[in-house]
Amino acid sequence: MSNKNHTLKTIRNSAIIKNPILFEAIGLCPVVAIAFSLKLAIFLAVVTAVELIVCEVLASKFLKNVRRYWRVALYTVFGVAIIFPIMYGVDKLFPDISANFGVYLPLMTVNSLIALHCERVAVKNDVKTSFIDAVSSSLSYGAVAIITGFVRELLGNGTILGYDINIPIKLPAFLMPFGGLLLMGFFAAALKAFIGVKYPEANPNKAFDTSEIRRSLRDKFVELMKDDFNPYGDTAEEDNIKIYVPKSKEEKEKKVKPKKEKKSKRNRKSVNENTSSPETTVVTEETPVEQEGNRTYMDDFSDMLSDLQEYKNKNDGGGKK
Amino acid sequence: MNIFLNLLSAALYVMLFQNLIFNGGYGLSEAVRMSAKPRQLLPMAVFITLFSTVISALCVLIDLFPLIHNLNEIYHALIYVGILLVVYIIAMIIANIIPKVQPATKRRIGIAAFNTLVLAMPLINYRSAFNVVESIGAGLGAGLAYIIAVILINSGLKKLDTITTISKAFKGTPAIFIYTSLLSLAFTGISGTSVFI
Amino acid sequence: MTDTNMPQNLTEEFKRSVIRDYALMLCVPMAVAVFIHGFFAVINIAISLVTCWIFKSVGKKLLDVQFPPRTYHTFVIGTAVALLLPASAPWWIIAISASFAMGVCVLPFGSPENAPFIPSVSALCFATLCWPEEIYNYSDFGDSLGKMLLYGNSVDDNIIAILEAFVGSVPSALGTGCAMAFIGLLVFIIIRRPKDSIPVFTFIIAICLMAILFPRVATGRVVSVVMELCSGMILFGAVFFISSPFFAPKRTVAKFFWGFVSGIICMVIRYVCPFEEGACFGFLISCAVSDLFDGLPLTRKEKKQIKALEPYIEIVEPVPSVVPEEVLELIPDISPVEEIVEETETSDEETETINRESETLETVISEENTVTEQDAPFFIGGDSNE
Repeated sequence: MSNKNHTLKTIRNSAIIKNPILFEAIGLCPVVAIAFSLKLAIFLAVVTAVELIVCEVLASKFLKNVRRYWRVALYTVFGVAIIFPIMYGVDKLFPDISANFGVYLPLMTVNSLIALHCERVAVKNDVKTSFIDAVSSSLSYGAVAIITGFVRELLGNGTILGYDINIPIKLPAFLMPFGGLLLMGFFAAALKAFIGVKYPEANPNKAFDTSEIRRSLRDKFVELMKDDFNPYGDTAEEDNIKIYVPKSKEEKEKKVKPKKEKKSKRNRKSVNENTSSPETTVVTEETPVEQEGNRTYMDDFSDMLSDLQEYKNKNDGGGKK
Repeated sequence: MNIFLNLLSAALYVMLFQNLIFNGGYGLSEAVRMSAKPRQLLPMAVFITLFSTVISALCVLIDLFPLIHNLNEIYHALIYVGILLVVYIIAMIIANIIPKVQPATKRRIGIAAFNTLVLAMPLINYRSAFNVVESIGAGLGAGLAYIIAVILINSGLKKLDTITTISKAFKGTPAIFIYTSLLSLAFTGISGTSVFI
Repeated sequence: MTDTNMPQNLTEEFKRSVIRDYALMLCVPMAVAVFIHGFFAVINIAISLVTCWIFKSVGKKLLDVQFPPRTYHTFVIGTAVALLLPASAPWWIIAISASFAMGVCVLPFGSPENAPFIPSVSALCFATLCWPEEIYNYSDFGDSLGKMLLYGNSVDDNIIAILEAFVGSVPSALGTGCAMAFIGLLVFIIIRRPKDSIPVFTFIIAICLMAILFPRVATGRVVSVVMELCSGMILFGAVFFISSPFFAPKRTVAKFFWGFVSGIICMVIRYVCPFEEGACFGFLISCAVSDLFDGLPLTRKEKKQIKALEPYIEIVEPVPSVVPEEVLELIPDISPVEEIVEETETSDEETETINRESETLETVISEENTVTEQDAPFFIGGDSNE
């Protein structure tokens, strides 16, 4: 029973609360550009589902010990192995679909949805969890694509699956990428309203971190390059990769490391009653994205703590002011 | 002079008149997500421009071989993906050899290489029958289009962040998508339609 | 229009006065439209207003959208949408355009004052992409100036033809034809809000420059300038959109450059776009880039003003919502209230110096007297999010 609940929670989180396309803004290109008819949207949903499930299962099975920089390339290789036979078959059997897809079908090999889910979930979990995550994410992605395709075809062409519905007014602008984005904005709002009613404790805003939008980009290139970059929302300290870290940061990490563990445990206790061991991380509410949202203040506090500790150590002998 | 004008016209076409991101949706995820992290703009834009230009150039040069030129579009796409992988591997080898390259830089290279904007360039060049100079111009234009998109979306995100009257349902990505859609509306009107399919 | 990005520091009174000005100004093109097109104008405006009012009611009930009291946002948006469309536009185009203006550009952002793009212009852009033939269909009246420019045709090179274009005796949208009326409205803006007229002038200068340097007609540069200014929605946009203080950048220098760049963007889009009127897309792009102009380097005058206001600037830092216990333990055992009380105990000498400094600052500020209600809050608030 607890396994079933856990599975349902995983599905709920990856499909609804952290909907990859509506809340994380991943994999927008095909939906915005291609899903302007129901037929194409169904095809897109099926192809994405097949690709995501196969890639996540293979990544979970074989790529855990591969360095991250090579994994990213291997996802593309998996994508090629899946997409190109499909392309060949579609070109022979459904040339109209192939023509409508245009350049977007080969672009599915580098869909950001695949890389993000494989990095975040597949390489950190077992095959079953990865499969469940892949299925739920692809279902949610497919649902968004199909609804978008349906509405765009209806409003833009006045047809459904190519059959004319005889609508008196048509809005051809919805067939363009602008229409796709606009509809996705309203779908995201509708889903958010639903989450607000059904799961009031959940916060879909955390899926898209906007804490850094006010930081200035006007800086020296070298300084900008020094900024840490975590596209998948996980920590920089990767296993099995030797990282070049400046000495000052190493020292700080050595000082702060034990306190960080204490803080994380306390925060977990105060925020969530359910604690899970770090080895068996699954896609729950305590996902790296949420931790990253808290880490911004915790990073500052860890620096403050180390400074205050030094100040205290200095003044303990000389007396406080 | 002709070469420069061809290069400039291809870059302008891809940047403004048929903006790849707003008109075609290429690299939209990367643009929207990176616009929330403006400090990543310049490094990412440099890498994306490098990759798109290099891959555009290499793909159009390889296409000059009659054997490859006579293949159909599917095989062309396969070859372009292969070239992208090779370029990425070379970039990572170089990044691993240089001692001072940080892990964040290597992660940037991964994201900059494997995205729809970079892979779309050789496919668009092939479909539009661009020559070498025009392909290089289009590759450069792709990077500039990315910069324009991220700056505009970031400016919008800052505006949206200050608006306190947005309802709960629209706060976050819904408002961002609607804002981006209106930007896309503006760019679509420049050309009247989307050409790159 | 006024239903656009609201700078955070404008007072409520100022906002209300601006919106009332626009509502009053819109009566002029409305009157011209009714004079020229008669009953059609009234019907079109009524349809647009009713649609906007319906969306306003729905937005208020379902989304809790705030429409400030005693302002005329709905009237302004509805009228502008109708005036930008042709008199022969079918009723459903007007209704859908007004729905788009309210439903997409206003309601999701919670208030018409916070819309990031001009609702009426966005609606026109949407309608242009959907039904370009209906939007630019003046078949009963002949070819509009925009269509003539698109095909390289020109009006006659004589004063009567130029005056006709000026007065509005040419096919155009419902409320954008009479250039004379817009010149009168521009004078009104100069009198009421001189700073907001700066971008309008630079916008018009940019249009004229582009028309002189890159004329689309062969009958001379003067005819080219007149045709470009009188065609489409250039003057309507200049008077109602570019002059909007909620929409333009906050700094005067930024407004100056932004108006010029907007003019260039509108003209470039006009030259390349396949539609008769592409300036509407240019206005949308101008909306998007307006904030970027506020990042221009400060002038000497602005630096002086900021220095004078420095003692009064409060730098608000983001305060974390949760302070960990470990941090609280390490902080010395003095309550914040006591600390503040201790710090405010100043000596007599210190109070005298403070008084002297404040007097000198007052004299500096009164001498320069350049910080207005509009500008001062911007400098005081800085980049704060409040």
